[in-house]
Amino acid sequence: MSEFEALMIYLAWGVDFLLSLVFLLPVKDDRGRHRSFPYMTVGIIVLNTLIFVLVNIVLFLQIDDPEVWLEQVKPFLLVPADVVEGKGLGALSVITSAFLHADLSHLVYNMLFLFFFGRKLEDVLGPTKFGLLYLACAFVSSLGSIVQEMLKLSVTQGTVPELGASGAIMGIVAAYLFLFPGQRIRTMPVLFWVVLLGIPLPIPLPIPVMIPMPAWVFILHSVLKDIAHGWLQTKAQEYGFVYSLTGSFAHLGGIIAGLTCLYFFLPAEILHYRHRVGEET
Amino acid sequence: MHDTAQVTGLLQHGIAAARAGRKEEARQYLLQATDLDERNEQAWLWLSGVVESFEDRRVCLENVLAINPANPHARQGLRWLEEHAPPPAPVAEERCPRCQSPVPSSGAVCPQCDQLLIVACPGCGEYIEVEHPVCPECGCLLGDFRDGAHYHLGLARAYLERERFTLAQEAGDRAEAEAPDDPEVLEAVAALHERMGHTDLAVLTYQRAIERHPESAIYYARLGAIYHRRAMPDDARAMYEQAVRLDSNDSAALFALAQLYAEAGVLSGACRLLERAVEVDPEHAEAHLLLSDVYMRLGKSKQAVQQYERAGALSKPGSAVGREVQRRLTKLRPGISEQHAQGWGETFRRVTGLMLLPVLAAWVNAGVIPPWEIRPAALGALAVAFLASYLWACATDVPRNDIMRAIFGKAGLERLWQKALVGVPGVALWGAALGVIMWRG
Repeated sequence: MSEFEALMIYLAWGVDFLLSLVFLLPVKDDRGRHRSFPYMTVGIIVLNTLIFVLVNIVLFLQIDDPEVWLEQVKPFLLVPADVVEGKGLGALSVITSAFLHADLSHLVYNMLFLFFFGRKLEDVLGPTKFGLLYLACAFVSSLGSIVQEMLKLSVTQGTVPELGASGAIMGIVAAYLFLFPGQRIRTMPVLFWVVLLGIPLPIPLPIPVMIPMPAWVFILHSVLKDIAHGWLQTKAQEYGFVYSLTGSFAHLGGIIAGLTCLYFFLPAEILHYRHRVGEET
Repeated sequence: MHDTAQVTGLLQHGIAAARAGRKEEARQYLLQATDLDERNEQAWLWLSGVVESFEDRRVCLENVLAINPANPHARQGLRWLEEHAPPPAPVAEERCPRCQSPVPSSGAVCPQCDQLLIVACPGCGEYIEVEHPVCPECGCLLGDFRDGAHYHLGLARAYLERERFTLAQEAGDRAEAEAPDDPEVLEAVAALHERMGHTDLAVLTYQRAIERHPESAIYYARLGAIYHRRAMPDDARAMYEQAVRLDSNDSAALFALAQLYAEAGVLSGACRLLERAVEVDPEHAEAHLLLSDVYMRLGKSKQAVQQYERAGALSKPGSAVGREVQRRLTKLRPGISEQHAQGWGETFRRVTGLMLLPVLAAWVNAGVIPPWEIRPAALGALAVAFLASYLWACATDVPRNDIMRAIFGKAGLERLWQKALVGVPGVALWGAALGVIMWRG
């Protein structure tokens, strides 16, 4: 390992560690009005929660053996190698894995973000197009690891299962940023590590202050964290160990998906006037 | 007519309870008996033995004597009461509630400090003493006299609410006399004058306030508002400018001064003030609306639209600002041309959006780059998905595209049944095709 590479790893680790300390919880923005009840957003949240309860609680308690339980659930997770080799559910597993979550905190943070950004986006797109955009983002966010496997670039041979709605939700967040770039979001910071009696403990501690924050800060926070985290994951794989199982590149894929796929679902007026107003000035 | 048997029963129960020492129970029975038969001598006599106060006991015994003047027990009891009754409480000397000097019982003003001792209740108009926190006639709250100027201010506001203008005026004057240097009182008194329509008096009060507190921005702003209403723009502008100079965070003054600038055509000045106003108070919908108007007049339509949208988001649906924003945005954004909204470009965009999932799914299932190994079934399903996406897009987004107009006439898919005829098979086929693509058998 060269000195430069070591320095970059330290730098990436520092950025990743610092950004992981604080979770930015969006609480309120200035877009208070909704045309109608956000049926699709709430529907997706309910579906995710129901699946979590059925799979992670009911099924787990019934089987009572983590290994057997994992074998039962595994076909519904996204395993890039299996998808490319034509095993299992294939493309369908991209959708099924987007509705599965590893644990309660994974589900809660994803659903909080979906509830906040999803209903605002559904307000603009309508429920059907919002649902299609959500699925498209879920698909595109998973493409990174599948393409990596197709090109035989994956260090882990694409055997690490992926799950969670994070990629799709990052797409929704990116689409929100694209539509409302000047929006200020009142944010509650949540500390992830609390030092009690000199011992750092992974307890979420909400700080009861509302910080008005531009929407782009959310994306910047996520993008920086995911780039640093993803790069560290790749480096760790090169040296034969696993840094973490978070799908950082799936998050980045979701952001790209949100920004690109949104174009196909936006109402004509929004596209037209953005263009027209820009021309006039 | 009373029921004799019932009264007798109550009396017997009452006497038995009194003899047993259960005074409260006895009192209840005997009171019921006297309620039913108020000329029952025995009931009153026994009741006199179980009531608590000297006064109640005396009343009971007097009632016995009223029924039977020769009753020896009642006479004896009254004599005993006269001998043992406590001395009457000394009559409290009336004093001024502020300076505590003695005042004549009928006096309306304290001879020592000239404090008003009697006021008219704002609720019922009865004259009452000022130390009463609540009107004994109607229960109207009067507040605390010891608050001085604030008491009179509260009274003035209460008078005003009940349209007792003269009394409100007098109470306001008393408040100012009580605290001529209190900026809060001066502002409140001037506001009272304004509410009563006495703008001349309000102006004088604000001017007095400015003399005493020349550093306070609020008086200048209020005077500016009065001058603005009186169509004296130069005076108003001078006042607002002074208010803004003294307090650059007063969004109301910034907005009002910007209004004057905009009316006078000083657009850059208005723009600067409004930008500051919305920075200080980002939820000031009217400031956003005026700022967008100013931007439009300056030719900055992009910023104008942003501000209109902001004003629209901040205003309540159906409010005056909301309606105004909608009207101006509609004017600024005439409908998109039919060619643009229903043309092939828009149709292609819509169909592409719907084709994203089927195409990506087919590629992922092919498992290679480039995706040459798509199964024939999936290829067929992709073709079906394309047709289905077109039908779906026609039913929802481009109902008047060329093909639909050719089939259904000039209006395209206008009626619900027409949209259903095209859209339902479209959605169903799309779902089926996606299912075939996803399913690898």
